[in-house]
Amino acid sequence: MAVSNLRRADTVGPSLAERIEISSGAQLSIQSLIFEGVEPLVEDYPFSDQQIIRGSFLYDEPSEYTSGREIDVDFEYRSGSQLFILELDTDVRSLDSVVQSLTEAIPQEFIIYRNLHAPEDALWSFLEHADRILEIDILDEGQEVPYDEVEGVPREEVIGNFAIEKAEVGFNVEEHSIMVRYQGGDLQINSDWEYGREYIIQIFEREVLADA
Amino acid sequence: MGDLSRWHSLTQSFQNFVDYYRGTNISYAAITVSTILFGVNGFFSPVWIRFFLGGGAVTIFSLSVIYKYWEGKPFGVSVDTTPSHLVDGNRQPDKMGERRDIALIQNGEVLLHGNVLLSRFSDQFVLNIDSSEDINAELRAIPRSEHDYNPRTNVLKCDNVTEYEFPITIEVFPNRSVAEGGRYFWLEISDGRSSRLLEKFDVINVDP
Repeated sequence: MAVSNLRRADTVGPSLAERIEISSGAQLSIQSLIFEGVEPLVEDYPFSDQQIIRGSFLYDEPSEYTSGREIDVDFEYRSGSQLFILELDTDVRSLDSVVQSLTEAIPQEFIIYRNLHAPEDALWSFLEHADRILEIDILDEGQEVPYDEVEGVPREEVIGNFAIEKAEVGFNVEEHSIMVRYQGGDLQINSDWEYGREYIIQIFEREVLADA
Repeated sequence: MGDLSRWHSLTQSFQNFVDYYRGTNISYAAITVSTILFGVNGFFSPVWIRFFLGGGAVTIFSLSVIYKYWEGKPFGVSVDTTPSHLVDGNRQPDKMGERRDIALIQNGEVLLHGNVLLSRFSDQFVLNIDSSEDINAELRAIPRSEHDYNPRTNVLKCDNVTEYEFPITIEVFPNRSVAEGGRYFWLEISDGRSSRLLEKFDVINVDP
């Protein structure tokens, strides 16, 4: 089951789609690159016109002790919502190094941020759209606390007001189940359904990333 | 976390101004001079001298207060953050670091979490986040949908405030190894309109 990692990206100047030319580098070799549009799976989808750039590359994970290993990474960039998605089948020591080598391989200025920069109140409403809440931990003066155990503040008042540290929720679409984990500013999607990932991404784009 | 009452906003802004004023050199000079003038004033009996000295004392003090208010306003913004780290998968605050205004980068990160308090009379705000070149300080999430965040300039602002209290989370991480970038950095959060410093940390990378 592949895990998708979402981050916010930013391009400078003309759209990335027009000028993209990813060269292979020392740690990275591009396997494929395609451009396509998007097929809305949810109602009131605000980004139906956006361009999606999908690609895959082989990442050479350096290792001090062994000769390292090659990891298959799929990525996607969505021009409308500026979402950058990375998908790997195995755990890497550092997702940031993978991101770093990708940004270095793209010649024009393309920044992939560490975080999603999603509005916190919109994140809460995204979580409230879920069918099952498994855990939500918030921050209270730097201390991580489950959202229903905040001292002196009832759960209803925590929702929408406190900063979220991590959350794990489940969505049900027909007979399919999708697990979503938000942690430290990025989002992970886990699903056996082939459209599960796209479905969640679109809901996320609609609820959180679209301008109010 | 309810809304601030207007009275609370007034007292909070007043407190922010007092803290700011007391930290300036002008306040030290003005209060010293005013005190001397006022003290000397007691030795003279002619009315015109008393008027001159007493009036001078009050004027000098008032001018320094007015000048500093004008220079540092708005005072309706305050930011209070605590550095925190992941310990065994659970985030814990670093209270010792907070007391000393030190944020330690451990395992490649430190999160500053806290609250921004705006006076009920503000309708906009601009917050600048600045840091040394070899570290990045990035907002983890934009506090409210009504806010605008520019990650390139690291400015958080809002032109039409409806929420006067909200949490803020800033992730601080190095963008170079210790060997290349060193260990000692700084981070400052200031008001974008007056450049008044709101929060400041020494950032130290303690990773090997």
